[in-house]
Amino acid sequence: MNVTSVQRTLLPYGLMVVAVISVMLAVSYLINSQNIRQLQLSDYYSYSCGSETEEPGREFRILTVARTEALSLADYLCSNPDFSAVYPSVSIRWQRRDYLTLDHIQEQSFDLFFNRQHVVSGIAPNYKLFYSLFHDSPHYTLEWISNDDQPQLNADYFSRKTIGLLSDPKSQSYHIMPLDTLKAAGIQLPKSRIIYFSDTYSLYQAFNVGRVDMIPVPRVKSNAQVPFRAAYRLNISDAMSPGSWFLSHKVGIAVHCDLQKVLKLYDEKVFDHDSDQTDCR
Amino acid sequence: MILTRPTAAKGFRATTIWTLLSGLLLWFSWHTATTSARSALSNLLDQQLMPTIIAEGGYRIAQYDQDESLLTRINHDLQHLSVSGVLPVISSCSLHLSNLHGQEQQPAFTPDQRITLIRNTSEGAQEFFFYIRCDPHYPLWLGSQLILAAFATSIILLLPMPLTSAQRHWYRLLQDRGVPSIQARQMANQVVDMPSPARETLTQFFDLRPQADTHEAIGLCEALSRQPDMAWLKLALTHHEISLPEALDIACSGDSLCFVPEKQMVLIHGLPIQLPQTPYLYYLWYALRRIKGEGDGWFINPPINRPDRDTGAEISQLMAALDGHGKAINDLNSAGLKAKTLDQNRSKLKDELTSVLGDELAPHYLFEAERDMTSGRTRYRLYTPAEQIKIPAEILPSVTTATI
Repeated sequence: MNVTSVQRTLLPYGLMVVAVISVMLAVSYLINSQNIRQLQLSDYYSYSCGSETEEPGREFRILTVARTEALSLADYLCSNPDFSAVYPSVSIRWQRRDYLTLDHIQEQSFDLFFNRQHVVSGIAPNYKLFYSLFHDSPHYTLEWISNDDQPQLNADYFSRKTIGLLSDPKSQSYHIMPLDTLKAAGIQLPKSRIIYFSDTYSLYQAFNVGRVDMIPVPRVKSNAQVPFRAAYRLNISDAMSPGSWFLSHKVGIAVHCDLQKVLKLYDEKVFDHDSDQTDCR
Repeated sequence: MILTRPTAAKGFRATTIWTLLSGLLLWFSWHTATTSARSALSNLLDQQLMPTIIAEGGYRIAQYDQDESLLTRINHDLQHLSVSGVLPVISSCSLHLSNLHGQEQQPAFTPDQRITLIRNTSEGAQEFFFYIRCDPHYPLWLGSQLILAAFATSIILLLPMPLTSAQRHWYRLLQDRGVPSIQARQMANQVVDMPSPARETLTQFFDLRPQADTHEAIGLCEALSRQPDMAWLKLALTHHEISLPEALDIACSGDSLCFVPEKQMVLIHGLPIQLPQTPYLYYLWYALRRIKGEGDGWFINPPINRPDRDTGAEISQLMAALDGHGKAINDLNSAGLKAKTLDQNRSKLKDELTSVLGDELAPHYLFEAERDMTSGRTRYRLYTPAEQIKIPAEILPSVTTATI
């Protein structure tokens, strides 16, 4: 036998083998493809305490705008036996101010919510049909802070500075008020000197790394934990109103005092100034 | 009926193919499973998780908070994910978000893969890195893939192997003679595995017997696998009057020398050979001596000047009994057995047998010679051993009586 006689005509056979392996891989692909239907995610912007209840109206629902002290507010209510007798369960949710809708107000989705009066009126001019203004938060001070030198409210000083603000035009402290005061003082900043950020964390970071020279910061206790290396401050306003608490008409008078007490406690923890005295003891 | 390849070799081939396919399938199935799980997870994270971290407007949902516990709570939710599939080869997957709003957390497991999701914020694109690790459901994964590999292996083994060009040659030859395709394929495989004399014989067979039919071809192939004596088969095939089965009988039978006196014929190894009358009878006489074992079958040539009268009478008697040539009988009776006569007849036999059997096969049925020490003359005997010689029973007693 010569060499060519042992060379096999492999092509048709090879094609058949390849076809078998291809079918095998296709079957493997079909049966081994995996799927995941849904992620089981918790609600990251709410907190509940007390004993769970299915009974309608037995859960006290609160809406606020920041997580700061929200958990302790709920816990405080849960630990109050008189309050728990009426509301065995308390839930609190924190969302941006624009989370609130007309539906929420008409449906009385929350028993107690925090917002600015003008915002609430803007959403639901007749909100008083469902809610009453229950508690005003104390005023707070808003300041410019600077890394380099003492800020001054004049065009010359600001002409050398880049300022950082939140891009949210509904934010009183980080957007409206700082721009208002600059306008009022006749200071015109070119657009390139204002950098807008999407959240306070990014804003503070940009300030700390020197990307912006000045930012507005509310002087509140909750901000005391934020480490700013700046030493220089300039008052923007002493009379900033953070907003008010609105209480649903559905909430019985029996718990009003408990709520007043807890909100006063809340104010003490969050703001520099105390809230007004209440009649409750 | 048909020779099969050794079972061990087949087993080795099957095991090798199965092992290779299993390896390929295990890798491929795991790759498919993890890639599809990863892609499904990537979509879910994008649709379900990311909106709870970054709003559509590009700001963080918790715009005013730096929530230190958020990353931990998200990772807690992503720790155990149940995966489904037609064949749930993954028992569970774990995910881990490694960075969130400036916080970093290393996963507690060794990750296999990573998913990167990007969200645009007013500060630019923000990347989120998710590490994944999936663990197989071992019994299901290994079991299913090994079974699938075994299934594919058995199909591959059932595929007809390609023929070598040598095999194709035989395949065509056999097909031309009407052997059915499948059988021709198997036989062609067999033929190339035969020793080359067998293949040569087959070639000769097809050359010599172009009209041979299916059964003959199959018969020959099968017979060849019984390893007949090739030299005898070739020889038999050259005789066209001998049918294939007869030729195979010749090739498969042992060495033998069989006398058929009424036809003046010998069957050597089953092959019939017709001989001239007188040499045939001398051949028979030597064979009888070999069977009877007188002097181990040896016969010393008579001296040139003194013919052997006794032996001459013995041979003439045998010739007479078997219708021998009258002149030969008379010569023996009148002049006795001459050395020359013996030499001539042996020489004649040698010529006859060699012409039929050839130089290689003939000597076994001819004479051996040696010098007798006492007389100084040459003695001869039939080379074929006594037990290989067959003479009809009716001749043996008559000869024996005649000799006595």
